[in-house]
Amino acid sequence: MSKDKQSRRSILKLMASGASLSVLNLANSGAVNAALSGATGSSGAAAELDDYKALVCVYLFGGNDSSNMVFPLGGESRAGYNAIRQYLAVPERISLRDPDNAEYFKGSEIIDFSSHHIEQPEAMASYNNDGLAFHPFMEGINQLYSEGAVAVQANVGSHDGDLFAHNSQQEAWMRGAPLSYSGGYGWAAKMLDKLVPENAVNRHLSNVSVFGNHTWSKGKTITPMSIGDSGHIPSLALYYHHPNALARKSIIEEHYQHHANQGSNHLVKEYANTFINADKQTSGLNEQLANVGSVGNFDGINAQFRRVAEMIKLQKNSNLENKRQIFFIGIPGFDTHKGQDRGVKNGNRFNRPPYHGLLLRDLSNAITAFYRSIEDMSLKNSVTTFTMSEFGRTLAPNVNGGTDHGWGGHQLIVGGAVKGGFYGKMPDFSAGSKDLGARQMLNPTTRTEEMFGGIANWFGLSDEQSKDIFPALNLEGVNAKRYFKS
Amino acid sequence: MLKKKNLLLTLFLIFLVSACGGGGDDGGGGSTTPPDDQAGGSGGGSGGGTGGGTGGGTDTDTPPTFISAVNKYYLSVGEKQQLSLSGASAISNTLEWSGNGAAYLDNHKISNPVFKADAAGVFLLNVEVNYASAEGKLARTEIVRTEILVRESPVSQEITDIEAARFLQQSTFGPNRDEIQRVKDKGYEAWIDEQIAMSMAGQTLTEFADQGIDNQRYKRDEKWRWEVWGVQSIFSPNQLRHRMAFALSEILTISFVADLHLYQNPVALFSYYDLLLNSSFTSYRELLELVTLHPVMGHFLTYKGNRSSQDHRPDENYAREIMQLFTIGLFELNLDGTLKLDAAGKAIPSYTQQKITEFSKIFTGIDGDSLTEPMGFDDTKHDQGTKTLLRDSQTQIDLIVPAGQTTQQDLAMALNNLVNHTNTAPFISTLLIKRLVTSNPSPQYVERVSTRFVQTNGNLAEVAKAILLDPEARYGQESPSFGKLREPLIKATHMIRAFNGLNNQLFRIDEARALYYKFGQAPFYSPTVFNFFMPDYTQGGLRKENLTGPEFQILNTSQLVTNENLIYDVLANHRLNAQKIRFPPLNRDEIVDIYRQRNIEGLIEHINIYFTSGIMSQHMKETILKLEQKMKEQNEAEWPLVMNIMYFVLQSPEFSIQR
Repeated sequence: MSKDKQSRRSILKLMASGASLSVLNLANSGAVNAALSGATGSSGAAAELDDYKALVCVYLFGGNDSSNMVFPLGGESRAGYNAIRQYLAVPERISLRDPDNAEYFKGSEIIDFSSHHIEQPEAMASYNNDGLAFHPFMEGINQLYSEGAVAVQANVGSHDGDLFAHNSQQEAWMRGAPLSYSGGYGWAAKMLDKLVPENAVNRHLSNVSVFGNHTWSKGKTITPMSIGDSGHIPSLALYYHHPNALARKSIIEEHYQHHANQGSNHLVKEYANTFINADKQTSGLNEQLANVGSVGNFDGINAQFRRVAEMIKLQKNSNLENKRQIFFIGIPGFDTHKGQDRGVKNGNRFNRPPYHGLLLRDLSNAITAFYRSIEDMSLKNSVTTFTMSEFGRTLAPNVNGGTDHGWGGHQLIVGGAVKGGFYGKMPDFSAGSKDLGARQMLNPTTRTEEMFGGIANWFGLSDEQSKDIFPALNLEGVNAKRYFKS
Repeated sequence: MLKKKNLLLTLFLIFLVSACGGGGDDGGGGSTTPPDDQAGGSGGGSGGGTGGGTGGGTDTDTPPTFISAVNKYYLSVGEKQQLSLSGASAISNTLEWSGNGAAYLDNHKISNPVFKADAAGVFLLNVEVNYASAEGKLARTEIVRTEILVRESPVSQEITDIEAARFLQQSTFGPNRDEIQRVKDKGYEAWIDEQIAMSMAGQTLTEFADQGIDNQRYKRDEKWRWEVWGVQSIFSPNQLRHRMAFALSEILTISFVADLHLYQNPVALFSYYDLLLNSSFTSYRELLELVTLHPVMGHFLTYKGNRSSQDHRPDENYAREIMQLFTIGLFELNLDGTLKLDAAGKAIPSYTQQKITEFSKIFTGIDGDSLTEPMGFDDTKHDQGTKTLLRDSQTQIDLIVPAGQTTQQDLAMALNNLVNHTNTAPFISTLLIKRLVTSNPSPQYVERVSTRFVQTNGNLAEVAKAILLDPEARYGQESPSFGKLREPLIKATHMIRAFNGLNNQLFRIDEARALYYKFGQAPFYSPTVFNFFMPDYTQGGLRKENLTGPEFQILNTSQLVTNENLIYDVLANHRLNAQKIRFPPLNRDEIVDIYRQRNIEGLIEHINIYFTSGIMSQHMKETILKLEQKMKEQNEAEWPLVMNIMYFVLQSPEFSIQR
């Protein structure tokens, strides 16, 4: 380990141990930033990592209408928001009743600006007065925010709105680069390429998707493991059914190796490699997972979150030997072209909840349950969860009571290491505002790379490494570690 | 030097031995162009894709290209072929020959090299053309490549069992004994003609469910109807039609995954599948109209009931996806499916957001009450203004749909505008080739199929024929980039058919999502309109080779293991009774008899017809022999021995990739 790195770590330790508020102020001061960037400047190739970190991507497929996830509560901001969103605007005070008519959640709470970090206080000044709230169904996120564990990155979008097509915008988010840079690898897996040496312990468990194959998890050297969200993880029947079969395993393995090494057809070769990896990744995993023990209460929660918690606990049980992990969770259903407000309103109350509101509720409950689970493992400072979604949506409702593909949107970054607060600039909804693009979509005021770069910095990448992964990243004037306490 | 600085390089192919049999009458497309010594203007021989005719003779002219029927040369062992190469009085040219077998250049003359094939293999011919500047100095170098594929045996007029089985894995849900015989008796083209002409009377999924022997069962629970899809896909004589409909269900995709309304209406979903079955061989324009008016599509892509309004924009959902996924795609394409590039070398978007908004006005005033009958038109809810659509293929200016037309008139103009767009032929042709034959068709293959699409106004029967009879489909299997990962469902149907499965009544699917849980795939069960996999999906080693492998997108770790274990269950237990799926029993006796009577060699021969269709590697044969040897040592009885060999075969890389 280099001296520079040691000194940096001691600064970080110092900061982490101090009282949080004063440390945060310190972290924002130019002196410390300069000291830190000087210290990180020299790091080169894969250094030895001695701290465990996991990054969990919660991908909201279809394009989340995040202008209803965080919205203004009063004043001129509210008036502008109401005027554009019309009946899709989230009411200031609403309540939801369950079938027994017992009220289980009531009203939006004003987000408390005073005790959390506001990255651009001037740009956000009007909201300081007018107030912002999370969707009233996002009770859990609201609570985590008050605990200082939620960063909201306002109005972030891809470089090129392109045609606002699902697939190309998904690719842009997952690659962390404008599509014209191509390459086709995912930014998170590229981080693992750089951080996790080829011979690292349990390297094959460092990249897990519980929602199928996606670009975000595709690296040059690292193969994602994609497993089901629940139930047992099967291993190959070929090898476990009978001792006789096991005795023949080497004959069959040799055949796969032959194709993997010298297959003349590229597809055959790829299949052989995929098979070999699947065998390696799944064999014994089911038994290991069965023995991880409880990971907390996930009743009624999307099963993917429990599975990721189990995988993290598995790492913990093996002394966190594998220093970096990335996880991909996907939640479909956000492409709300029609009836996204299908709730039935009765005065200020929903008799039936709106569809998009339920999506947000489930998201909030899931992230919260996951956070608590990780907190119970004493790993909350080591695990960061964040959302991505290919675009925000048009603000005005279409004729079907839904919204169409927009551009900028808000994202959440959640974890114990996160410096809770607001990042970037919440949009100005007033008529003629530059934040409003054609078809009343949000023109992004933060680029995806800036958000990803901040996360990558926490994950352990140097500025040069980040530049390599995010070619359009402009570090000028950007506090690379903006979202995090240290 | 002024004479001819840059002569268009024309590679002219002369068969010294008689031309390909089978689909070999395709040669006309490219090789009719005589060797051309004139600069510029001759590149159109292969149908326009090579973009000749820029004139002049400067360094920046069309780069040299091979012009042949297939841009790949197909030979058999013992054949000799002459490439007539004229032009290019550049400074120097070289021919370079590489490969892994005993084929070689008989002479190295740049103008008419002759090569000979003494052994099978894949060879690459590189031609390096060094262009001179006006001063006679080296200005730039172009390298052109072509593949030469040498087959084991000469092409005969007679179709072998292996060749018939190869053809059937592309055109059906798997080869079986009877169908192989039929293809051998009739020939490929006549077999296709027979399939196209075969009646669908009483054969739709709906009719089969309502009138078939199990109809009482489906009255008890409509979800059980899904097994009719399985039974018909596997056992219907209308195999080509079924395979096409399945392919089309992955292009004109609907999904009931997240839609309770559709989930509770399997009758409606069957109605949509029947539409695809009935229209598998009609024109694409006609099919697209039926699809657009089908209430299930209207419901799924949310334009059913879409209307014009003072206050709100129309829903853009269908306007966007009909362009991106059903007709023209995101970027301007050449006829051969390659991207058109602008001066800066960037792809050119084929439409703008503005066009989406314009098309969204077209899809207003379409509505209906039924979920099975076509939707109707309500002009009072239709946008009455003018709409500016895409560039018209005839006039080359944006098509203006005049104000005040009926919904039906607007729709007809819009669908014509989309289907006649220059992108639609290569876009749809590529998708269909990828679903049936190979994930990485050569541009020349795409161009031949697209050309047929254009010539026949998108007649899908003709397009299917062009895809299946193409030399690349018939003889391309030796190319390192040829083939496709078998879709999980088609892997299973292939297994059942190739075992000559007996009794269709024992096939049970209690609901479509049970299939999905086991296979990662079920009809109409993709997550979104983007299907189970993207046509340009790639990963790992494929990415490095710049190749796609769409089906790999659903071959994730757990799914791969689950699929392979499912096959084990079906083999070992005769049938699968878990997860609400029950397979018909496989015909064990036949395959055990083969082993008993013809030994392991006979079994290998059988496997190499019905399962690997002639592409079994030497290594695979040796592995099977080793497995047999080992199992004999382990005193395995006949059936477990054969079963374990079959299990190895069914999850082998050779069988998993359809070639």
